Amino acid sequence: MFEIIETLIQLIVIVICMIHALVYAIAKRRDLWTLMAFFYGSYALGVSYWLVCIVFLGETPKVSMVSDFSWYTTYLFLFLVFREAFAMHGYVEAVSKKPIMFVIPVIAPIFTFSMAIFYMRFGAVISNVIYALLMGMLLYGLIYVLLNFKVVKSKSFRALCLVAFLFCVSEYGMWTASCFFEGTGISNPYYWFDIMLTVTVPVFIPIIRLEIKTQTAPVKNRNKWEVAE
Amino acid sequence: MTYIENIYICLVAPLFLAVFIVRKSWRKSLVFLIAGMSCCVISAYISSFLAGNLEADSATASHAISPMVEEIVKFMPVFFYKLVFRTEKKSSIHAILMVAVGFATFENVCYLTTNGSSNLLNLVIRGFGTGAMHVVCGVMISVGMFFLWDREWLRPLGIAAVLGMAITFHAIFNIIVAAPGIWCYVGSVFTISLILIYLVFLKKKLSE
Repeated sequence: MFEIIETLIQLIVIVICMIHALVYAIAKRRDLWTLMAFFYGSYALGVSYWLVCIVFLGETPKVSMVSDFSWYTTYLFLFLVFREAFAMHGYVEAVSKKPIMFVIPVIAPIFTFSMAIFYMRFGAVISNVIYALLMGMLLYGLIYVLLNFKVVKSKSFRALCLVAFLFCVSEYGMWTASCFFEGTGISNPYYWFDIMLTVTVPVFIPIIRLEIKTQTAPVKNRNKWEVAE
Repeated sequence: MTYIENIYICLVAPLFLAVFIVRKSWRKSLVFLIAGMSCCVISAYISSFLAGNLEADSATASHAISPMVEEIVKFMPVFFYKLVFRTEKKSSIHAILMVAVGFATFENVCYLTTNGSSNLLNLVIRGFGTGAMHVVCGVMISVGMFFLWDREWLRPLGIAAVLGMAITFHAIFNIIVAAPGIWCYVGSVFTISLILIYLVFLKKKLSE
């Protein structure tokens, strides 16, 4: 019962965020809002599928290809949001070009693939490789920006990267906890990370709003939204 | 046992002949309608093969395997059309919807031949519900294409992601309509109401 209520609350939060992002995507015609709407939409569909399976079939899906598809989609859209914001700021030129700054983030794919090998003991091979690939790609970009925190001027972009990083951490926390704990109560760490995820997801909305404000502000006024170097 | 290839030939034959006779502007729609029916046959074969291979029972196959196969196969003709003929967005969106309609029509005919046609209420719900679900999935993909096709780097990732969304929606619908009691009606009414929401609120905004 706790699992159903927790998933239902998460679903409601995500659906509200999705509607908000969709309304802004249609009204403002900004790509970031469109991508956010798709991000929330695919996440909402994944959670709904999980919930529908628990409620109607009484168990989590036996063949999880469909739910895997929606999680892949979610991470893909989050990566696209990150890439879009990164490209919009023109940080490709601005951030540090020291080779070490490109080498250190490689720990991200190394970590994701090591974890994938660990998860393969419990699950399928191909889906774990795809998760590792997507998460590795996303975390590489996020760590790269977080390492260049001082160079990146925009407050909103920093916040976006931090929240996306937290999102990834809570996902990994959930996956790892589910390997060791089986209970369906609050004592299971899986639900702690799941609650953390539910709290993290709506934080994207004000950040994206600020991010778009920064992008649309005239160059001379940008200092208002950006933190000086 | 249902011989779907026989039904397919029977349904497609008049449409196929009409392709050569009708006006040029109608021809494209007919071709995509036929493509939708062909996709239904192909995906039935692939789904059965995968279900056998993964040793999945019919319930698992209906909500875990066939949505994935059906949505991917349904997208293929439009993807080919878009890539080869480099058509406008509007034309591709029309094509996606016609493929979805063809697919839903053929699926409904197969359902009729398997389950009989005595219960009118069930058939009405089934007809509108499944039809609406395929159209909603088509709309989902077309809205995704509309927003994500323009930039090359966004295209492959965006389309893969939108396909994933359509697959999940399809799977959720299949689980709900297979549930006993009122849920079959709830699932169908939900998809029909999504189409109404699209028509009333979104279509005009998107076409602007």
